[in-house]
Amino acid sequence: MPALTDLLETLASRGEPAGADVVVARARAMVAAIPVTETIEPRRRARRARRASLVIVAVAAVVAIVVPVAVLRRSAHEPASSLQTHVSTPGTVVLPEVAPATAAQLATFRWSTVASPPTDMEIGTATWDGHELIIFGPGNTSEHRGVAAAYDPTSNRWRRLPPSPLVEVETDWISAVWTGRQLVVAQGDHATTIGRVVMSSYDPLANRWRAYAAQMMCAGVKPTLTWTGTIVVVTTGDRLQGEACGGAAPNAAHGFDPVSGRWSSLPELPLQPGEYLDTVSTTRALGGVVALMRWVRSDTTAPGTTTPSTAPGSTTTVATPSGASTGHNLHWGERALLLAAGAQQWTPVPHVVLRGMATPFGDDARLVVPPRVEQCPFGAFCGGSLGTEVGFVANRDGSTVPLAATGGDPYVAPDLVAFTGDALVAVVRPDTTIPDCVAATCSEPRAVAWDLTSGHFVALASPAVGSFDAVWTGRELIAFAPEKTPSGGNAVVAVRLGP
Amino acid sequence: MATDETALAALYSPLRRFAAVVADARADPDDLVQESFARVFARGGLDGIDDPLAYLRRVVLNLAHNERRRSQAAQRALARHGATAESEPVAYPSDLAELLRLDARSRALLYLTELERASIAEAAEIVGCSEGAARMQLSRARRRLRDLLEREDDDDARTH
Repeated sequence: MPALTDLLETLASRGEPAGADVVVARARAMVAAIPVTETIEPRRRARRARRASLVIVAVAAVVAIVVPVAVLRRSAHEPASSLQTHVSTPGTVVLPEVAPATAAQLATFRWSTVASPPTDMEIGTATWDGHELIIFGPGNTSEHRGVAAAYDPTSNRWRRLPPSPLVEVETDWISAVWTGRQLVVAQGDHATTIGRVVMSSYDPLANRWRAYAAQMMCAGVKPTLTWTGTIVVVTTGDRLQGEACGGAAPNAAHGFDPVSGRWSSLPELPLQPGEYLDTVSTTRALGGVVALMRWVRSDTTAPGTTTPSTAPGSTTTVATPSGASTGHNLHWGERALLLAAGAQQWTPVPHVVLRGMATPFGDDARLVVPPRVEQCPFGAFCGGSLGTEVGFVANRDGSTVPLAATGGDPYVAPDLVAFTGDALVAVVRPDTTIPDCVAATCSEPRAVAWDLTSGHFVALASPAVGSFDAVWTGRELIAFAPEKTPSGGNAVVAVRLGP
Repeated sequence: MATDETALAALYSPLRRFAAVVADARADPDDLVQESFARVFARGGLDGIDDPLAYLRRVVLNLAHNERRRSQAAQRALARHGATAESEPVAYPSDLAELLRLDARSRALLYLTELERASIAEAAEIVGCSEGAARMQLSRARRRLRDLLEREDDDDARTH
């Protein structure tokens, strides 16, 4: 069987290139040869401009009347926003009791298949509500949009949920969190370029969805949600390179109250001058909300220049070329930040220097950052993987425990990670950049579990399929993987790691 | 304007390789590159584009996608009238033909991650999807390709 890279190289080199000068000249000639539209265009533009100005005047008049009235009415009823009221103290969160499992216990478990989800589903999110695993599909294709289902491990049965009211939202930027009473779902809206996050919630007792008003945010990437006990903390990355999105600051964090449906502003994620927020991921840990964030800065520093970051907790950065013609180079780095209960600002997590982004886990005693390959965020620009596995546990007493590397290449990139309270489970797969990765042996995933006290890992039984999302229920780990149906369609299989 | 032309000429080579990967078997990669350059000229040049190569790759991918859709619609229309397309299908070695059976976005993701060593996040941004969707699509593409190639190996073994 040929190596995939050879095939791709052959494909990339196919045909006889016409040459840069020829193609540029032809393109220039193409544009020059459109006189008809150019003569018609000014009149069309004038008509469009007249129509647009009428619409703008009408909208401005409505906004000028309605908005001040709405703001006055809202401020009369709303208490002053304070972080103290948002981040609840430990112990007040109403969440299902989920029994922990140690790495040693997990090592005795075996994988088995369970009933498959409905055939028209893809997995966007999977959330455990204490009784059922609720899954929600991504909405990037019309047939999957708004589809949700719930799995009961006791009966090994699925039930289809009513469709989400937000079926018109086209997105695979989707996240969900369980609040103890309802599943809150956030969808970053693909259709808007200015950034909009729409929220809905599902109440399993009433078997009913509720839709809320959208919030303008920099929804350039998947939103992340963390339940504090009173509000959902909503943050998103910003792939718009620092531009304000719908009036929201690119590094804004918001609080969402699913009971009242109201949004509030939380302290902004701290950035130094010239930096913008690239990606962010949050979790409840260390007595507050922890955010792992990557910042990026663009300047004309020569490639390869090392610059110590001025911000606490930030890594030293190296300028990498971002484009042949702009002359601008990129610096990037990551920070781990804590928004403690009652705090008015995010502060660096002590003793933690983050290298690379990951989805964190945690509880009030610790923050768990799963092992992942330390990567350059700009792939081709700086050589892709930097090749180091880095993961750790940061305890509330200030101590940190590194998580042991799983053996280096090729097993480096976790397909899924799940937190069982006392252990961290990951299904790791080979580094797909190795040349013959289409070979069958190269695609086999394997599972490991780290003991969070020692940082050592034990090998678990190998799963039969690669997985993309997994949830610990207190008794077993349930994971999902995409599959092809015999007719060539897409389906999802569910597997279980349990006693 | 001359600066734009120089900048575009510098991007020709990597863009042509990308176009050759994502283009339909019948399409000439240079046509896609030329069309994408024309779009840049039509919008008034490269001003305001932070990363011209990423921008042009996105345009090329969209053009390839549109071209494929147009071509399929034309074939369906011809089939309805009992006719066939005039041009003969381009004959590629079977391994390449299997690769070309994947959709353009999957080929783009494979190319960016395998040959250009882009991270999945970077590749996802270029093709315009989320990292999760890219990861899933890559996995499906690899699996599909492996299945196709293995089936072909089996057929070869049976033949010999």
